[in-house]
Amino acid sequence: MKKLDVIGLRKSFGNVIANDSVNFDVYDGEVHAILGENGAGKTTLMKCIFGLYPPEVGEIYYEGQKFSSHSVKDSIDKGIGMVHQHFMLVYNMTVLENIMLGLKSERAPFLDKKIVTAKMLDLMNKYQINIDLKQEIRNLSVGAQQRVEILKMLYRKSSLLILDEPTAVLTPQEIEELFVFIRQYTGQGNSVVLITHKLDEILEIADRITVMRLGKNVGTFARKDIKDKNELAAKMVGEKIELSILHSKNKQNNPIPAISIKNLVVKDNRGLKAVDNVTFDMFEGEILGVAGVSGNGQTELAEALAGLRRPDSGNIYLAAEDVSKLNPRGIQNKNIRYIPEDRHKYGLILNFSVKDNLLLGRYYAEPYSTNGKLNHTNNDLYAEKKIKEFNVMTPNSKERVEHLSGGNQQKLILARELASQPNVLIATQPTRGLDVAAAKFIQRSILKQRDAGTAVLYVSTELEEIFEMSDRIMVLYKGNIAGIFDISLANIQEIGLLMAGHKMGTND
Amino acid sequence: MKFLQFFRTKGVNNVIYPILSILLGMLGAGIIIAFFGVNPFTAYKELVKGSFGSIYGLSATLQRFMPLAFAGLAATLAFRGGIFNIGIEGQLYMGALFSTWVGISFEKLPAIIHIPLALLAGGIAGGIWAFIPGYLKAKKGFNEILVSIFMNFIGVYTLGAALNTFLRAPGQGIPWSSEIVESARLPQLPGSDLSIGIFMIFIFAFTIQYIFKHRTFGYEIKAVGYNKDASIYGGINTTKVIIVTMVLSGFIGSFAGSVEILGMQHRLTENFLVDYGYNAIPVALLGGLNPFGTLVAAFFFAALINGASSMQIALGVPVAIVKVIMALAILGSLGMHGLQKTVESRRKRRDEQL
Repeated sequence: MKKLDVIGLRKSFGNVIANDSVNFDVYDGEVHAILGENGAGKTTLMKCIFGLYPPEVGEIYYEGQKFSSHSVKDSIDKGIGMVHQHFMLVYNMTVLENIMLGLKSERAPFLDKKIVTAKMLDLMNKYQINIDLKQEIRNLSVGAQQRVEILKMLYRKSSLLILDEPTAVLTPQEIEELFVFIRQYTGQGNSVVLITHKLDEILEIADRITVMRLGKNVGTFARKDIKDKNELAAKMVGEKIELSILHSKNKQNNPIPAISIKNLVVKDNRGLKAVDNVTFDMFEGEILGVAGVSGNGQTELAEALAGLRRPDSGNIYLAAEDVSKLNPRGIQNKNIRYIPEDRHKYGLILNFSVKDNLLLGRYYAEPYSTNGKLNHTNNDLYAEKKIKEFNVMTPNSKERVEHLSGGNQQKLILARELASQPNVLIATQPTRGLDVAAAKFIQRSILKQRDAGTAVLYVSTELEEIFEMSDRIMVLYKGNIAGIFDISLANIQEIGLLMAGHKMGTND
Repeated sequence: MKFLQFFRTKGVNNVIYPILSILLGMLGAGIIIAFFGVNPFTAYKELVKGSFGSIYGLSATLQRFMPLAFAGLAATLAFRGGIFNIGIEGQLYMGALFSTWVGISFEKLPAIIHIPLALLAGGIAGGIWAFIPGYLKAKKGFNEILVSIFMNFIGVYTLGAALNTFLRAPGQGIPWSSEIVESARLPQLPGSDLSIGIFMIFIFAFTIQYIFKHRTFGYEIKAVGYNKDASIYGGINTTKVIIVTMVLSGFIGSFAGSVEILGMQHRLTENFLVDYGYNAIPVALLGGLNPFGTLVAAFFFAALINGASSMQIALGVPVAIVKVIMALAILGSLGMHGLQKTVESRRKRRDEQL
């Protein structure tokens, strides 16, 4: 029986049509995955179903009942629950208080903590989810926070759960736990809509798959009709793309490290040790992938190498010279380049033109300027060249960067950072939030740079991406190196376990 | 300060925007004038007559223009670096104080040395007055608006204290200084009472524009103004840039005071220029944070201030109406920028769809 039925839904923002005559349905007891590139309209569709946006045209039926009004309260009352990509939790309230938030107390005007606690314990027993109800949200891991979000919806008797990119923040083990829950939940006749980019997960858990492209439903397929990942990816981007391994292991075996990190300790903004006594080498012409769940010291390590964060102790040697105390410009002068995680905050000045952004971190040196005077003729040529070389889609070099798409913004950063053929490149999450085509372009460019001899530190929280890109893989857990593996010896399960904090003998 | 980006203009808009904004402001203020029982058109006719109607009126307008222009340029420079320099009032008071001091002190100096020396003394004093909030902002994260306002009070009362003590003209009961000696007075344009300070305004405006366009330092100021985090990442010493920008702003701002004394009033009094430092803020905003736009806005603001007195004398409409016009003009400017942004993004979306 159909649990949810969406017919001919249309939703636009200004002149941008986010959803165009979308038909979509979910059956009882099924896991329905929605696949699509960024901006394909997945989240908009879900927000319409959840009542956050009213659709312009089209009808939504839930268990045979037509939606008359569109409000979140209405949707929740009907039994639809949504777990957003960014959690909607109050961080300094306890789990229990978060569950109760927005619900009418049975003992009004007093709180009904005891009643809710009892009901919650039942619920947690039923689904074997363990969580301390008295704990404040900010003390919980991201995975636990997600479980709170799910519990919140279960407590509201949701029979359809919409999960928006639920696995992006989880370790492989937590993902497995989530999938166990999903199977149990749908086994009782409930349904799950799963939004994700990750093809493997879709193949593992989904019963049906809807592919969206440019706001339209391109097709809904049964899992059994899909052969493999490549077929799925092709459906998503609308053309045949080569998914697996751009990576071709660089055979060059250089015993001289390009950069050596010795006993590095870096503190985070709260003054806690984020990188704790880390020692490793990076070699010329190799990509050292850094695997780890986000928040395990990757950002701090990268920032220390880029000169943005002064290490507490330890050294960074570039050809026998300690560069650990240099400021960003000093690091840039050593030709160490950095692709920051947050491109809007660090990587770009959104109000600057394409050309001016290409000068960031370079403007002060020849040939970009001479004695403090900018060399506009040279810089215009440089900008034109980079735009062409990296295929940046912009009307011209004077266009403000804020008007560019995410992929083109990232290409711009890459073009700038690779312009000097760096000795060392630190790339943190360089493909985050990009569509497949742009991500592949970025990855190919970095591989090309590696082949030209650059030592690359490649930080990503996507294990699949780490395996695609790396020559060696380093796992960070709580600021420590949990292990460094050659790609030929690495195994995804083992690395997943290390990321989650399981100890084992290192086989370096 | 995100709102600043909203005011930025380029090209011909540097001239069109300030004029249209002020016209919008006058339109709004016209309603208020009508409440006084005065026909707004008659009132504005008087205003225009007062500010442009005669050589005398035009000259008086230009005299008001000069301090507003210096102060406006100072505000524009700081704004572009993401700094809200509301301390220009104090900076121009200190500038006037020190240039007066030099201007009355050395009697035997040739003008070619005495004038630059007096201006420089004022400039350094204004620079130091701006350095303090700049330093505290860059190094300690203090809010520069708060600190600058405090510095304004200190500046204004320091000048008062100086005029009541060591700077007071000997043997006189009024708290004012002696007259600036001849060698320190700015030469005046032939056939007018305008000083050559008016050229300095254009020199400053061109210099600022040149720095923004062609110097790495201008690149740094703009980068820090737009995005401090990305500037640090891009190898810019943001602390230094913020402090230097602020000091330069104070240096330029001081000329509003020193040129007024050395070129026009020739004698320092307690309230020799009131609120010009504060008015620099709307002038800079209306000018689209562009040096030449700022000059256009300063000129029209000066015309309003000057013409308003004629309007008050002729029709009894209070001079304060100028403040209403300016406030409404800023709102009008915001509205126009908002409209322009909307139209642009509409057009962009349409282009993308085609």
